[in-house]
Amino acid sequence: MAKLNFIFRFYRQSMVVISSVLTLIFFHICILNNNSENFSAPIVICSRQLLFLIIMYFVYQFKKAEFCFGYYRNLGLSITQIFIIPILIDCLMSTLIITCINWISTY
Amino acid sequence: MYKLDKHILEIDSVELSFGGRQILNSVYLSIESGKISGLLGRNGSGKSSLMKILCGEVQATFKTMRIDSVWHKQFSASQLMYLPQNSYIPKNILTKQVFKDFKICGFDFTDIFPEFSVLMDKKVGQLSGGERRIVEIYSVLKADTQFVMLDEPFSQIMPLHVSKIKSLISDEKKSKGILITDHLYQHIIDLSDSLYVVDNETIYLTREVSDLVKYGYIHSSI
Repeated sequence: MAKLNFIFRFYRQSMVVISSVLTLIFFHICILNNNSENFSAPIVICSRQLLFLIIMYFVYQFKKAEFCFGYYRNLGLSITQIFIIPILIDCLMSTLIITCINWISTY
Repeated sequence: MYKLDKHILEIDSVELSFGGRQILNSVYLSIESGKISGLLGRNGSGKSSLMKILCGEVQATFKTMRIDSVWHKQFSASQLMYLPQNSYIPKNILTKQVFKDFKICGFDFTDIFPEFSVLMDKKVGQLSGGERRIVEIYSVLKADTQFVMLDEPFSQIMPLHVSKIKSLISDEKKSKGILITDHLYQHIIDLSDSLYVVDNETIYLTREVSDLVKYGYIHSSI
């Protein structure tokens, strides 16, 4: 439970800004493609996640010490727990948001 | 009284090179519970790199690591904690949250450092460099782990606090094995039970301070 708490905190502190900006960008893509028949949610979600992973890779390279081997490493989190779980959470959240937008746009 | 289970952490046959430059070659180092091992060496000799290899931040070309003769690919936080040279606590965390995270009593901390009682509700980023360093050293030293590595713990710390940190380190060695490096070498000599010098890609166990002159770490007139 404590580990999950750290992971959520890490997501909130380190990824949520990038995640929100990306969600906004892709929200606009959704709106622009809003004559919904040509809009494909899986493509938007996949490309968004791909971009998210690329950004996180560069963030990881530049902030390696703090992210992986500093505070969170000393709290017992592995790199998988630090990165993969927040990315999965982000994937789930963005899927939900974009699906909702898609669903609303059909009405 | 502390009950000390004796543990030995060993790293062996370490090979490390950066861009064709050999940094470490066939290095062996051991850290024992109940003892402080000091690590000295010139800038760029590979002290910090060795610590980073131990905690998994740097990948050596070759190495073997073990605790009590059990091989490990990497060490967990419950086995080994690392205080890096640079500040490592995210700046937007409250100071008291750090103690909670490491499951350490904040009141024990403010007993030793009373000036921190007004800083516990501040964010780590609002502390001065020296104050932040003290929180970092204390949290790593007091955390529940078998071994601790301290990379330049005395940098940025004022002399009054250096003596407190030194006695904290001496206290913690009763329950942990400690590896420490700092260019304020007199403190390292005072604290260490065994003293290593990194020179010419390898590590030497020194027996007396004059060895530091021999390995080119201090000048003979000091």
